[in-house]
Amino acid sequence: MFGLALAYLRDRSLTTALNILLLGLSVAMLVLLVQFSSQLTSRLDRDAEGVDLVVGAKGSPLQLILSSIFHIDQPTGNIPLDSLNMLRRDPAVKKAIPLALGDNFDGFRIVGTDASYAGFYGGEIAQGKMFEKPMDAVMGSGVAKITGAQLGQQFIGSHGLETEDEAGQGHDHAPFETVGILAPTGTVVDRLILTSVESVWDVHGIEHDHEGHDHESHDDHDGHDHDHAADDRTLSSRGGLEPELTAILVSYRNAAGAIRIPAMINRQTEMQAAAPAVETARLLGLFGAGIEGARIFAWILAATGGLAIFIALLNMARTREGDLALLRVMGASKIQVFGTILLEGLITAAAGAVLGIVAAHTALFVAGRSFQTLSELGLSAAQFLPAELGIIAAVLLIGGIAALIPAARIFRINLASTLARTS
Amino acid sequence: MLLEIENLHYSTNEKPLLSDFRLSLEEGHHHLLVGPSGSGKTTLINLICGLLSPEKGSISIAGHDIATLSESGRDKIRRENIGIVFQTLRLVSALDLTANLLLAQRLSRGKIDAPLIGSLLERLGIAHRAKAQPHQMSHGEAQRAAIARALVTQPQLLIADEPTSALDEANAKQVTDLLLECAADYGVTLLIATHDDRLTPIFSNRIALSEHMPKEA
Repeated sequence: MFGLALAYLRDRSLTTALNILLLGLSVAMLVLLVQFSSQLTSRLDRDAEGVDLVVGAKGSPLQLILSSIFHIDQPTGNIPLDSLNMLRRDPAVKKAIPLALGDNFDGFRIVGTDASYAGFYGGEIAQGKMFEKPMDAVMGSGVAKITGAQLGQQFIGSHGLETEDEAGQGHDHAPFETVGILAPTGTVVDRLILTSVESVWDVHGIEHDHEGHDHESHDDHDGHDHDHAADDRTLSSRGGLEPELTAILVSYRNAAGAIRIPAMINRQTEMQAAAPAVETARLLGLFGAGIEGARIFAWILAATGGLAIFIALLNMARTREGDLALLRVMGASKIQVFGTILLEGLITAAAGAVLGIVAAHTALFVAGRSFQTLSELGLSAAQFLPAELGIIAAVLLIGGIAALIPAARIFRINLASTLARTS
Repeated sequence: MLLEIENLHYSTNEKPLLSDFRLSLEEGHHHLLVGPSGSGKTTLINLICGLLSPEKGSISIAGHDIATLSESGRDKIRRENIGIVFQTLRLVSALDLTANLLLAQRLSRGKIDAPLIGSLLERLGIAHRAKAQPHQMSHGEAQRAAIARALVTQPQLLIADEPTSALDEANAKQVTDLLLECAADYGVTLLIATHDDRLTPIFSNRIALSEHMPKEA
């Protein structure tokens, strides 16, 4: 009877195709919403794991979190280098990791930090070694894969944090050298280039005390207007730029830190302290309302698809009463004819579900390649979620329910009178 | 006895249509069921096929009294013993000719006999239309296809309700000849209900229904 159900669907192919398309659209929308909210939540959770507090320049706390943890926004400004020592001296602080941002290579952010930053995300060296001296760089796995970087290769960073044409001024005087490549971690580190904070200062011609000797300022550094944090540094007493940081990632040694440190930073310094958990929840809350609205719309679309199947099958059952009666005369039982019509609804729904899932994953794949922000969020098209099985089941249920009433007509057909009318 | 009807009573709208009706059909003895419209030909066919239940009496097909059986029991007897050809309702509209015959075999016998399908299509002269959809066939081809659909399950009794009424002279003769030839070839007994006078001279056994009283001719 499966073949017969397929034949009936083929027989009214345009209606069938439109019904499949309608259901496919709703499934695609639902899968995209589920994938986006799930992958975004897990990615944000994973990237923020272990970071209790981010200290940075005053401004939007959400912007500070986005720029310092997820690396998808501009930094809020710079903070004094002394603040790192202040935090490291605090007994409630277990770890304080400096960040100095400002440049990119081929769209991938160059992050000045210390060697413990990669370990924070479980990053291990897959090739080469961790950076030790200025201008050593360690590539995240994703960066190495996409750029094809090899150990020993040199590259030049560009001003700014994105690959916009107008921001593409290179630091030709200070090339980086790839000394290590990290193993994949599934976190933001995969898409970063790690180097020492001193490297970032050197690139921007900032004097600093480096391993016991002073670096000279790079006289050939072009002084044009930069749109990134490293260029907002204050002038030193000698007229050069003061070494500063963009942000500090903090993890507490004990719960007392969570009470005292944010309050102390926000009230007693020119800096701000933002808690990733709070800002992530706020971000998801902002997304959540939109996602919920879209989800309701998608389910309405799915219900409309079910209604379209219902109308198509009801019409079919009416106009093909003779066919159904002939099937009974040919030896089909009522249950077999009922099952055939039910199968038509289920096959339509299943085809819609498959179309929707394929379309959604294709859209994720294309979007990941086309939009840098989505790419930076690490959206994966190959990941299937249990919720997608739930969507398939719900759509099959809609198809089954839509077919139930038309199929049930077979139990009310009077064969003799139907044949008298149609034969 | 292939078909034996005893003391059959059936009314429509509280008006008796068949009263104390009797009929015996031996294997290989083809019969024509004749009578004007409203005389009860189609009702009698529906009763024999188990599509209607009699008020009284017995209808025995190949030794099984279908009047006493449940609907599914009647379905089974029909499936195993009877092939039916209608005037216009010939094939399942969504399937091509071969798929119709395969479905008929599967529903009736639970298995496929492809050589029989091939030989029937050849015998009925529609082998070249094996993959044609019902709406692509002419009236004559479609009626021959309906005969193939009824015979492909190898029934003992083939009932045809007005098989030639919608056909022109040439097609009517061709279909009648094919019915008789196939009945002989495949060992099937024919019961043909018609008011088509063109068939009367061909069949020697006639059951005439008029004023609710059957007459053996």
